[in-house]
Amino acid sequence: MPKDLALRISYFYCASALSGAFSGLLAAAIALMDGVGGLEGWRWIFILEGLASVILGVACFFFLIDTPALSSRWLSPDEIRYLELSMFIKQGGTSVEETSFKIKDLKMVLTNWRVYVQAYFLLCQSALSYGKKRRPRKSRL
Amino acid sequence: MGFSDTNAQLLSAPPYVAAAISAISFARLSDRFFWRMPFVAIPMIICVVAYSVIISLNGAIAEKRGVAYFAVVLAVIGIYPIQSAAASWNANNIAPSARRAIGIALMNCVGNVGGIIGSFMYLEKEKPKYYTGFGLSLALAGFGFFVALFLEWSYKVGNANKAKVADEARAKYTEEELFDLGDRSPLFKYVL
Repeated sequence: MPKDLALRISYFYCASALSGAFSGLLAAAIALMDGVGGLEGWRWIFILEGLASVILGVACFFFLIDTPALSSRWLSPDEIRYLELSMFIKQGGTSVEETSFKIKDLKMVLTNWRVYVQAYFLLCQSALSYGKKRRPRKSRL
Repeated sequence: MGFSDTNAQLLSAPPYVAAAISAISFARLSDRFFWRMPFVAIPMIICVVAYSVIISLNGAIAEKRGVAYFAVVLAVIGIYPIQSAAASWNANNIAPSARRAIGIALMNCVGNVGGIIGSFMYLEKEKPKYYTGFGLSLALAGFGFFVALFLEWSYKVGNANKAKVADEARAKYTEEELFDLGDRSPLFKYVL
């Protein structure tokens, strides 16, 4: 529901903040593998962190489920019903599935000036983030 | 900041933890009141205070490392909640879902320009004061506070105008047409 959105988004970005907190420590630990298998420590950082990303990326395809109805293996029928009803209410009481991309939707958003004003807040956020560290940030998302 | 490497590594973790706690607390409050503006505006003010402290150190960061460290923690406490509050404020005010998806992407695209500004504003020749970088941060955040107030006002005016024509619209348009108008429908109420 729209009311829960801020908390969910913040969990999402906290993961990014915490990875910032611990990535240095993790890298320092992996760098200690210097010499294992005849490879330098920095190579191991790329191999292990890259491997984790790729595996998780592929796993997303299987574990990131599209609809509550398909989640029967880990949600009870009541929970599925609850999620479906919330979606129904959020869409304003219609179950119309919008699957096709309409050029009109794009136009309506591009001409919505408030989106650009909202974007200013993100611009602040990303510009200000540079003050706290002196290395280029990894791209978000 | 003049710490040894190991210490620097260890000291870099707590600010992020503070950032995470701050982001979640602000987001919880924002959802509780279902009000987004204050949770953009207040963190902006926190950033203004933090960057004012950093600028007032006049580059004496190693001498006053306690104050500098406190200012950095304060800065991230202000920076991190902005994202979740603004992203959900934007998403809450776009309908239907196909347009919301585009709107979120557009906001991210335009917003990430900040990364370009950020990477160019810390000039090597201004080391260690970085007046341009910290000053611009201060200005961006200060202006952001007023932008949040302006946007709140604009949504309020929008809601008032919609309320005037709501009854008329119900008679004039079919349900499908109203759905198609999305957030521009007179029946759609902006989230403040």
